[in-house]
Amino acid sequence: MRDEDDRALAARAVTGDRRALELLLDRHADRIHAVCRRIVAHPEDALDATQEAMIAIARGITRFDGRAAFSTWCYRVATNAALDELRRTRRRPVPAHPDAPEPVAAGSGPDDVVAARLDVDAALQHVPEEFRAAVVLRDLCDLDYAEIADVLDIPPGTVRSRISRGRAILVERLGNQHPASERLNHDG
Amino acid sequence: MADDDRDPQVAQWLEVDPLDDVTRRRLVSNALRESAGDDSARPAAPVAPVAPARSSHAWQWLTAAAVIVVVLVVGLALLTAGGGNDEEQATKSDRAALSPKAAEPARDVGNFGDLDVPANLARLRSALEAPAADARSSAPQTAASGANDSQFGATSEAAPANGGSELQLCGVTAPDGGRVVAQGTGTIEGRRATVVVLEAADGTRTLEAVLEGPCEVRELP
Repeated sequence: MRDEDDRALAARAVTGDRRALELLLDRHADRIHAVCRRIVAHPEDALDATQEAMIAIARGITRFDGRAAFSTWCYRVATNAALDELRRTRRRPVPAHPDAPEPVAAGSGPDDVVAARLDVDAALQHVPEEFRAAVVLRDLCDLDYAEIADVLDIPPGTVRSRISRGRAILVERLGNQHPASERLNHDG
Repeated sequence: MADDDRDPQVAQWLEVDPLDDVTRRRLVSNALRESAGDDSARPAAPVAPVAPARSSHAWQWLTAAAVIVVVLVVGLALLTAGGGNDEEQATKSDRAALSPKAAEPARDVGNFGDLDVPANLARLRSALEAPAADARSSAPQTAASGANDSQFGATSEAAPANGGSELQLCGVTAPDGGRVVAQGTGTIEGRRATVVVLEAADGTRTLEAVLEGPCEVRELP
């Protein structure tokens, strides 16, 4: 139902309906930011990437052909913006996070949840960005392998491999959190 | 759970808190503003390259500046030309004011024949001193009465050429500010004569005769 709404809004936005475009951007802002946040890791850089992604979506709305879900198209744009942001940050002279905290095991309380979030940031620093993007698109955005292959422009088999290896690194860094892939079919 | 399935534990780790409303609105408004001038967001509108648009704006500014400069130069030139003619214009105005009747041609009352004949001279004097309409009506009569002096030709022969300030005969010039208001012709002592009513600048009038061969000016009583 939501995707149908997205398609209707996108169709209006393509014709120049600014209100429809505004609604689409507002509706998907959180997910776009989440993708950027997990791929870029640094909060401020992630916001920059989010802004760039939303600008790209607003400017390129006419290129949305409706073959995929609008959310999938947004994830593609957000992923590219986040990877571009990573490339920009690599050119900076200052190391991204030289004093990133070592991850600790998360408990079940609210404080533990916050600590776990910080741990995730630190753990993601150790996941290569190409693995990171695949894991984010699969486990955060719930894209299937074919969609991820299309977004990252890589073969589906490579997608599977990257997701598996990325998950393994996260488990290794985050301790005994027991992700499903670790439990069932670790292909690290 | 197959490896292709979404991992709920990883998904939980990767979850991100929603943006606060202020940040979300800022991101959306920035995106809309940044794309507002981008024609690529509107398929119906042609995409204008950035560089030519800037060039067009530059040409518009240059054209406007050139027009302003031209207007200023032309205006300055007109003001300068007008200022240079001020003295000349004032002189012309003063002339017109000082001698408003200067442009009026002297009234020619005709040929009155031998002016040594007192009657002919008297008629000429009357014609010269009479109003213009009366003088015109009496001129043919006097001219007819003086037919013996037909050698003088047309009565207008001795008429001033320049509106009364200078007589054509002998190059006699009226005094400063004076003018010839009326004239008649005839002979005096056998010489061709032009009798004129000369009005001085102060308005006083005198009757004078300009004789030819040789040129001589006599004030008539």
